[in-house]
Amino acid sequence: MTFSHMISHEWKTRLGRPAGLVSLLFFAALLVFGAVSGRMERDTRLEAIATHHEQIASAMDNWLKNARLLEEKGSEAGVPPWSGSALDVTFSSALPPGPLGDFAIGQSDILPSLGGLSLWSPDVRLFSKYEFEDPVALALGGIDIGKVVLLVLPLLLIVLSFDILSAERDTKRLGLTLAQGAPLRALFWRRLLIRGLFVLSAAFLVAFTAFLFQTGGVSLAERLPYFAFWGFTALLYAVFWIGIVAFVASRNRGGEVNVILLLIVWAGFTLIVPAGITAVAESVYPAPSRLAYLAEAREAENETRLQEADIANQFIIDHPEMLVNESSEIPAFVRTAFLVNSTVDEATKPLLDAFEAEAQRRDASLAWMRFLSPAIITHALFNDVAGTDSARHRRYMQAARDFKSAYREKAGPYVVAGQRLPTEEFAALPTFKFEEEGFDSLLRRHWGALAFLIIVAALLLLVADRRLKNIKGPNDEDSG
Amino acid sequence: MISAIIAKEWTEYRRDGRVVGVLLLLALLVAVGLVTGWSGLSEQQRQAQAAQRDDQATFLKQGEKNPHSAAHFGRMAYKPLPPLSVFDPGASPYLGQVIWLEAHAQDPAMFRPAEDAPDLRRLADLSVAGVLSLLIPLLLFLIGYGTFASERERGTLRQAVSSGSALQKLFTGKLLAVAAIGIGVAVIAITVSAVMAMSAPAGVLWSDILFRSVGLMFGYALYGVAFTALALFVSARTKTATSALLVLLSLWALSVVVLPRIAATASEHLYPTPDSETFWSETYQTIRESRPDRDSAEYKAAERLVLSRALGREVTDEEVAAMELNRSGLSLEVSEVIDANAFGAAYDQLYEAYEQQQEMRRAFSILSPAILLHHVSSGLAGTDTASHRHFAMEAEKQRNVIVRKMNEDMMLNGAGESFAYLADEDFWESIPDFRYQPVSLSYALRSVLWDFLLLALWAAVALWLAWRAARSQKII
Repeated sequence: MTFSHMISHEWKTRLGRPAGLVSLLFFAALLVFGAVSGRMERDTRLEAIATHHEQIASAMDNWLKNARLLEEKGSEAGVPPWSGSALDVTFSSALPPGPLGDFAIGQSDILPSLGGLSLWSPDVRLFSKYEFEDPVALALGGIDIGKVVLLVLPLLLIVLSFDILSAERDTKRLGLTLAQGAPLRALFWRRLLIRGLFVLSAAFLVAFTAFLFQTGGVSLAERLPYFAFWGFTALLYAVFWIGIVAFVASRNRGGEVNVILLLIVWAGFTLIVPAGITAVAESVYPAPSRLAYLAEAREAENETRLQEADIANQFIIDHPEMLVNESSEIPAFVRTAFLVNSTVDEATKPLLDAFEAEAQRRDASLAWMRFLSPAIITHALFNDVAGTDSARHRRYMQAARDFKSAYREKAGPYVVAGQRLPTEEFAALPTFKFEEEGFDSLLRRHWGALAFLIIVAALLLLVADRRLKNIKGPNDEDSG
Repeated sequence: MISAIIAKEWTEYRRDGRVVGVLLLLALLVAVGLVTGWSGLSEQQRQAQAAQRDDQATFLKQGEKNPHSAAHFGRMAYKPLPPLSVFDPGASPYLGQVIWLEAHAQDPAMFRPAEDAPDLRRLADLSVAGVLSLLIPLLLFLIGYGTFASERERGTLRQAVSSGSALQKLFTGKLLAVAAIGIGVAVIAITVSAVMAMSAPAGVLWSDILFRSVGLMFGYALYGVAFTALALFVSARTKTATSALLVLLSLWALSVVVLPRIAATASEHLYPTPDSETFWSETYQTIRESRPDRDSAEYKAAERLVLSRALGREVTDEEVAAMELNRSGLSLEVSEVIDANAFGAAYDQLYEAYEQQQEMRRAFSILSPAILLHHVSSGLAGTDTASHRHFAMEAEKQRNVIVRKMNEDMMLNGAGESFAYLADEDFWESIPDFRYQPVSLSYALRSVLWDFLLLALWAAVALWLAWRAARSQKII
C-alpha cells in the first residue's frame, strides 16, 4: 500500500467522515478567527498609537508656536505668560507591536502600550488612565492563532488519533490484521503521520496566509525570521503531542481508556499545570503592593509641598549654573509642581525598582518551571515572538520613565529658575524610541526550552515505537 | 427503587479508579484555590485598609494650603475586595483597586492586580470557581458517558427493563446519582469558601454571605444538572460508550474551554470599548464644547445653583454679581458642575459598551452554559463589572463632595485672594472619609437575573432532551 493509497484510505475511513471533517473544518475556522482577532487587536493598538502621536504633535506644535511668539514679541505676543515652559513639553511614547504582533495578543490588551511623557505627571500616574477594556473579556481571555494552536491543536490530534490502534483492538480486528501479516508498526506511524499532517496543514495554511496578508505595515523580510521561529515552535509542539498520542495509543489498550488518559494529560498540561504554577509563583514571589506604592508617593508629595522652599534652595545650590529670573511671569505653581513630582519620583524609585526586581525573580523561577508543561514553553515563546509578553511591556515602561527622568535633568534648571525653554533647545530634544532587543536574544531565551521539547518528543516517539515492535501477532514465533 | 439505583451507581463509581482520580484532582485543586484565594483576599483587604488609613493621615497633614491645590492632591478611594472573592475573584483582578478623587476629572480605577501577575495567568485560572466551572462538567461527563451506552453494550439495560424496572425511574435514579456528585462537590467548596469569607479581616455581614452562597449553590446546581443531562442525552443517543465519551469530551472542550473565549473576543470586536486616547480626547472635546459662555443664561444659572447650594438658600443673579466672593473658587465649582455631565455621559457610554458585550456573550451562551455560570458566579460573589460600577459611582459622589467642599471654602472665605487664599490646617478634618457600602444582595440578584433564568432554561431543555433520548433509545 503506497503512501497516497494510505492517505486516500484515511480520508475515506476517518478524516473525510462527517465527524472528522467537521472537526477539521471547525479547527480551520477557529484558526481563521484567531488570526483575524489577533490582527484586529494589533491594528487597534496601531491606530491608538497613531492618534497618540498626532495629538501630542499637535499640542507641541502649539507649544512651539506660542514659545516663538513670546521669543519674538515678548509681552506683546498675546499668548499666556507661561507659554514656553519646559514643564509643558510632552513627549509621545509608544511600544509598537512586534513584527509578528498579530500572532498573539498576550499581555498587550492589559498592559500600557503608549503614554504621554510629561513632567506634570509623576511616575506613579504615568500610565494610570488607560484601563478601559472590558474586564470580563480580559478575564475570559481573548483568542488568537497562538491560543488555537496551544489549546485546540492537541485536542484535535487526540480526537483524530486516540484510536489509531485501539480501533482495531476494540472491533476485534487486531488479531486478524496481525495474522494477515500486516506491518502494524508501519501502519501505526503512517496513520499517525497522515492524521497529524492534516491537522498541521490546516494550522500552517492559515498561519502562512496570516503571515503574508496581515503585515500591518511591516515588511515580509522583517516578519520572516519571527514567523519561521513561530512555525518551528508550533511544529515542535505538534510533534510533542503526536508523541504523547503515540505513547498512549501504543500501550494497546481500549479506546475508552486512551481517550480519557489523553484528555487528562491535555487538561493537565494546558490548564491545570499552568494554573498551579501561576498560583505557586504568585505565592512565592508576590508583587509588592501597588497601594503601598501609591501611599508612599502621596506621602512624599505632601512632604515636598510642606518643605518646598528648602527643596528649591537645595536645587539651586545643586545647579550653580542656573540664573534665576526674579521677574518671571511663569506662575509659581509650575515650579512647585516640578519640585513635587521630581521628589515623588525620587522617593518612589526604590519601590518601582522592587517591583522590577520581584518580577525578574518571578520570571527567572518561571523559566525553570516552564519545563513542567510544553504548553507553558509554547505560550511563553508565542508571546515573546509576537512581542506581547509582559517583560517587553515592562522594558517599555522603564524606558519611558528613564526618558522622562533624562528630560527632567535637562528641564529642571529652566523650570526652577523661572525661565522658558529656548525654542532651539526644544528643537534639539530627542524623541522617545523603544529600543527593541535583537532576534538573537529571543533565540538565546528559548533554545533550551525548545531543545527540551525536542528531546521529550523524541523519547515519547521512541518508547512508542519500541512498544509497537513488541506487539506480537499469532504468526510471530514467540507469541503465546 | 430510585435510591437503589443511586446506591448501585455510586458503588460502580467508587470502584472506577478514573472517577476517584478526577474527584481527588478536583479536591486538590479546590483546596489550592481556596488557600491562594484566601491569602489574596486577606492580603488585599489588609493593604486596602492600611492604604486608606495612610491616605487619611497624609491628607490631614497638609498644613495651611489653598483648597484648590488640596483638591488636586485629592483623596484616594480604595475598593475593598468582596469577601466571596475567595471563591470567585471574577473580573476583580482585571479591575483597578483605587480611584483618585481629584479636581476636574473623573478618573477610572487604577492598579489592576492582573498587571502584576505572571503572563501564564491568562492561560488558566485556579480560583475555586474557575476549577469548579472547568472540572465539574468533565467529572460529570466521565461518570455519565456510559450511563446508558455501556449498559446497552453489556445488555444490562435490556435486562433491567425486562425485569420490570420503569425507564422513568432508571432515568431519574441515574440522573440523580451523577448530578449529586457534581453538585455535592460544588456545595462543599462553596460552604468552605463562605466560612472563609466570613472570617475575612474586613468586617462582613454574615447573612449577606450566607444568602449569596445559597444563590451560588443554586447556580452551580443548575450547571451540574445541565451537564449531567447532556451526558445522559449523548449516552442514550450514541451507539457505543467510546463514541459517547468522545462526543462528550469534545463538547466539554468546546463549551467550557474554547467557547467562552470566543464569545469574549467576538463581543469585544462587535462592541469595542474605546482606547484611552480616544476616550479622553473625546471627553475633553465634549467638555470644551459644553462649556457655556460666561455671559450666557446657562452659565449664570450654574453660578446661582453653586452659590445657593453653598449658602443653603436661593440667590439671584444680582446677588451673585454683588457678593464679596472668591470668584476663582466660584468659577472652579461652576466648571465642576458643568463638566460632571460630560464625564457622566462618557462613563455611561463606556458601561453601556460593557453591557452590550455581556448581552453578546449571553447570546453565545446558547452554545455554552459556562458563560452564564461565569456571569452568575461573579455577580453573586460581587466581583463583576456591575459591582465595580457601583463602587465607581459611589467614589464619584465622594469626589463631588470633596471638591465641592474645597471650592466652597475658597469661594466663601477667600474673597479677593484668588489662589493666594490658604485654608487652615484644621479645615481638612471637615472633609469626610470615603466609606463604601458594597452592593446589596438584591442589586447583585437583579444584575444576574437573566443569566440565572437562562441557566435554568439550559438545565430544563437539557433534561427534556435527555429524557426524550432515553425514552426513544433502542433497548431491545
